[in-house]
Amino acid sequence: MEYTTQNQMEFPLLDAFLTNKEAPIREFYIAEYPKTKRHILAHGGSLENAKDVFQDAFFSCWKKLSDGKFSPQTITEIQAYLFTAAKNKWIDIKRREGKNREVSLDTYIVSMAEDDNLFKEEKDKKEEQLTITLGAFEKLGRACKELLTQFYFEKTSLKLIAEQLNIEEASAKNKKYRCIQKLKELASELN
Amino acid sequence: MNPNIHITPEEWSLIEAHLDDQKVSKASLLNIPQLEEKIKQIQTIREEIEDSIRQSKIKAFHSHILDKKTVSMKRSNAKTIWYSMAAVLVVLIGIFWFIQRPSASEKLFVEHFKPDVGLPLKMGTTNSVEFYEGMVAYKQGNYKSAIDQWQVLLKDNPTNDTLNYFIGVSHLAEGNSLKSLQYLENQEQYNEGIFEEDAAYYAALANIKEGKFNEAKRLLEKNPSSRNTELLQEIEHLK
Repeated sequence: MEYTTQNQMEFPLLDAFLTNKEAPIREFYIAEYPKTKRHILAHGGSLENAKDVFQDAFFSCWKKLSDGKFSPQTITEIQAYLFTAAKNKWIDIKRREGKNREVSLDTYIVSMAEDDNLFKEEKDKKEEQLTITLGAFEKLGRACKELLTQFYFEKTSLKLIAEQLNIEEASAKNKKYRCIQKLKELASELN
Repeated sequence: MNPNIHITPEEWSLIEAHLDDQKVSKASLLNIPQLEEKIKQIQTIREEIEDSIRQSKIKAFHSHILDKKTVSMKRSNAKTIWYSMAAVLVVLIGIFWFIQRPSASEKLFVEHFKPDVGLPLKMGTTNSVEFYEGMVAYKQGNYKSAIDQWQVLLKDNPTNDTLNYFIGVSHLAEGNSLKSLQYLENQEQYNEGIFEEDAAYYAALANIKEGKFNEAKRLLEKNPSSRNTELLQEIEHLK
């Protein structure tokens, strides 16, 4: 699918974020990355910095949209939020490095993106926990990864998952439970 | 993700159905001990799983982006770099093969072998005392004792993936790679189960220990996972 900023795409994109539809979200990622990359490279960063900052901002944006904490009316608002979040994250990194003490002057979007700076300690703890869970998830076997992705991310019903695996629904439920136990074990090993 | 509160499969099902706004008997729900804490734990785990998948997808999205620096370098210097690398590689392979061959397999095995953490020690997760006792012994590093306990059960369930997997890993932990392969290498019994990739990983390590790198590669290629792919890359680097 060709990514476009035309009006008819606004709601499908928002819907994609709300329901975790991978293809349109990926197109949006690919289309929006260059702007952040140019900004980071022009402000003393490397390609690696650009990638990290953009991914971090993209995750915050996706999460805020799916939690209903950010309800944009147009695609431009999503683009502005994403770019501002990336800019602020880069300023934050530079500030921590002591190389840049500039403060962002943007208004509405900035204040929304800077919500991320609130409750920093709690946020850091959550991020640390998420890193552990992500590490554990990546160590899971393929069958478990697929099952958990289908159920928790794509929101596929257990009945349908069971049909695809050619097993009873109760067995699929049992498999899901065992996969979660395995994930918990791996996470506690990494903790 | 707090693994300390144990939630049984039945409790998990009921609470998830409740969280997904499905019809659930209130009485059954209220019968669950530490209900609020369990609801909170399941909500957290669900959120963390969804977020982990999001992050993993975002990482994958980036592989579709080709940064200009990389592209231009590839276009202008590709041939020169390729020939230089090939020449260096040929020399390196020769030297490496000559020096490292006798100990390469052992080194790779030692670097990567770490016994599976095992299953949670909760009687609720198993209906067999022998299995539970075997798992206690396994977690204490008494692999021989664990094998003895589980062998009894294996007689009645020769294709059980959990038993085969942990007996295989125990033999490997005891240094008996050939014996471990008898339990780990039969991929059919792991088909679609939760041990499929892990069994392939340990079977590959057992083969590495025996110096059978091609067999290890075949198993890892057939069962991709992050650590299987990592090990595969290390084998490739050796060659």
